[in-house]
Amino acid sequence: MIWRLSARAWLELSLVIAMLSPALARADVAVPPALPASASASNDSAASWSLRLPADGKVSYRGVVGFDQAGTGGTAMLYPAPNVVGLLVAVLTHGAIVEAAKNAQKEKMQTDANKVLSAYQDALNTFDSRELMRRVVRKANAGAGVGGRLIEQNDDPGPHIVVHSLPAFLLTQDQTAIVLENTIDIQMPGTVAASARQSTVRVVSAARDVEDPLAFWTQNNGEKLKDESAHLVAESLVIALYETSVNAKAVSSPYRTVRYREGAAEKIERAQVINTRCDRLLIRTLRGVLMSVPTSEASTEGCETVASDSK
Amino acid sequence: MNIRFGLILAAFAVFASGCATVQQTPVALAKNATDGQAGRIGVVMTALPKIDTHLPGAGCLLCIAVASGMNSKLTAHAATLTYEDLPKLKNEVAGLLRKSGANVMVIEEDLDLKALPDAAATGINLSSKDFSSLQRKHQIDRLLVIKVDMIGFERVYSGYIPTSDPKSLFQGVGYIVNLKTNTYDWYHPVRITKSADHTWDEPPKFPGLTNAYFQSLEMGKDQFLQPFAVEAKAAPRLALLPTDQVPSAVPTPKTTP
Repeated sequence: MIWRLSARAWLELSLVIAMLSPALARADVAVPPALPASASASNDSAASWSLRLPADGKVSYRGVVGFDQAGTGGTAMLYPAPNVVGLLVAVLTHGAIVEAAKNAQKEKMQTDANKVLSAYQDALNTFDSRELMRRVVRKANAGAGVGGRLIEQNDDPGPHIVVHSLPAFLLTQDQTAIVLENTIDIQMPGTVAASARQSTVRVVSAARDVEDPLAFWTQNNGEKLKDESAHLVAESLVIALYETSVNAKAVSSPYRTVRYREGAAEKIERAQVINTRCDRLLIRTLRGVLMSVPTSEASTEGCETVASDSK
Repeated sequence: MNIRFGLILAAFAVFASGCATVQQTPVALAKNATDGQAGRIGVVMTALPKIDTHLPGAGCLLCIAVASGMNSKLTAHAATLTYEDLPKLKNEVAGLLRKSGANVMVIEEDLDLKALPDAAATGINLSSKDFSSLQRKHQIDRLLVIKVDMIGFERVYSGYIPTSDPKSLFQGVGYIVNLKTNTYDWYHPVRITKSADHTWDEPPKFPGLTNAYFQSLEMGKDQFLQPFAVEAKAAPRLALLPTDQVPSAVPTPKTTP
C-alpha cells in the first residue's frame, strides 16, 4: 500500500526534533528563542526522542456518536407538595430520576454507535497498544529519519525527549474514516514526568472512497485499519512536537468557522487556522485542542508518496 | 341537569377550539418562483433576535426563576456572542437568486411584521400578513422573507428539572410570498439544535457550547441558502467556507468558489 504523506509534515518533524535535540544544540545549531530552556541543556544523544511503550491492552475503538438528539423531553410535572419539605423531596426525586434517564440514554446512544465495530472485532482483538506504538515509531522513522525509539515503562530515557501517548480511536458510522483523539505528554530531557507538557490532538483521516469499507479495513487481519491507526498517531506526534517546539499557542489568527470532512459528513468547528498543508488543515479549537482535518477539496500540492508498512 | 351538561360542553368546545390553530406546513420552492419569469423579487430580513438562553418546559413562575438562576452564567455568556455574518444572509440569498437569473432587490431596512396589517383572506398556504405596502413601495412582485426567531441556547425543562443538557439553537423560517395572490411559493421552517461535544458545563467561556452555537449558526444559514444554491446550479459555497478572512500570514485553505 502507498501512503500519501505530507513532505512538509515530515520535514517539520525533522526540524522539530533537530531543534529539540540536545546533540544538535551542542553542535552550534541555532536554537530558536521559543525553544524550551531545557532543550538546550546539552547531552550527547544518538536518538532524538523516545516513545514510552504503554502497558499491555487493547487499542481503544468506539463508534462516532452525536448527542444532538439527547434529552428526555419537557413534559409538565405536578409535584405532590403537602408542605415545603414534601415539595423539596418531590423535586429532588424527580431530578434523580431524570438524571438517571439522561445518563442511560447517552450510554445507549454510545452502545448503539459502537455496533458499527462489531464486524471489526476479530481484527481489533489482535491489535494491542504496544503493537500500535511499534508501528508508530516505524512510521515516524521511515518518514522523518529522526531516530525515534521505543522504551519500556521503567526504562531510563537518558538525554532524550520522552513522549507518552494515550490514543483513542473512533470509526465513523459510514466506516470510511477513522478519528484519533490522542492525549500526549512530552517530557523534556532532564525534567521529571510530572512537568511533562500535555496536549490533546485530534486527527481525522481522509475518507476512504471504497465500495466496501468493511472489507477494505479488515482484509489481511485488519492490516489497513492498523496501519491507518498508526499513521494517525504518528501524525498527532508530529503536531504535538511541533507545538512544543514553536509554542504554537502564540498564533494569534482569529477564530473562524471551519468546515471539514469526517467520512462522508461535513463537520464544522470554530477554530484558529494554524497551518495548511496538502489537503489538510491544522486548527486549534476553542478548547485548545489541535486538530488535523481533511479539507473538503483535495489538493496534492506539496505531498509525496511514502511506502507504508501495509502489505 | 341539561343546562349544566350544556355549559360543560360549551366550555369544552371553547377550550378545544382555542387549541386548534392552523400550523403552516412547509411548501417546496415553486417552479419559476425565482427565475427570470418570476418578476422582481424583494429580499428582506426581520430584525435579529437577542442571542439568549431559552428554557422551554419551565412552566411555573418559580420554575422559570429557578431555571433562569441555574443558567445565568450561560445566559451571560450568550450575550457576548456575535451574529457573525448572519445579518448579510439576505445578500447571500439575493446573490444566489441573481445567479439563477432572477431580478432581485435587497430591502435594506428590517421588516417589522407586527406593523403590517393582517391579510384579508386566510387559509392554507396563504400569508397571514398583507405585504401590499411593500409591493407598492419597492415595486416588487414577490417577497422573500428571512425571519430568525430564536438564536442562542436551549435547555428543556420539566418543571424545576432540566431534562436535557443545554444545546445551541437556531430557529426561524424563510418564505416567498407571491404578492399578486398572497400565497406562499416557498415556506421553509428551520430549527437546528447542536449539543456540545464532550462536556458542556465550562463557565465562563463555555467553549463546547460556543462551538455548538457557531455550528448551528452555519447550519441554519445553509438551510436558507441551499434551496437557491440548487436553483442557481452553482457550487453552493457551502463545502468549506470560512466565515472570516484568513490572515495573510496563513495560507488560505482551498474553498469552493
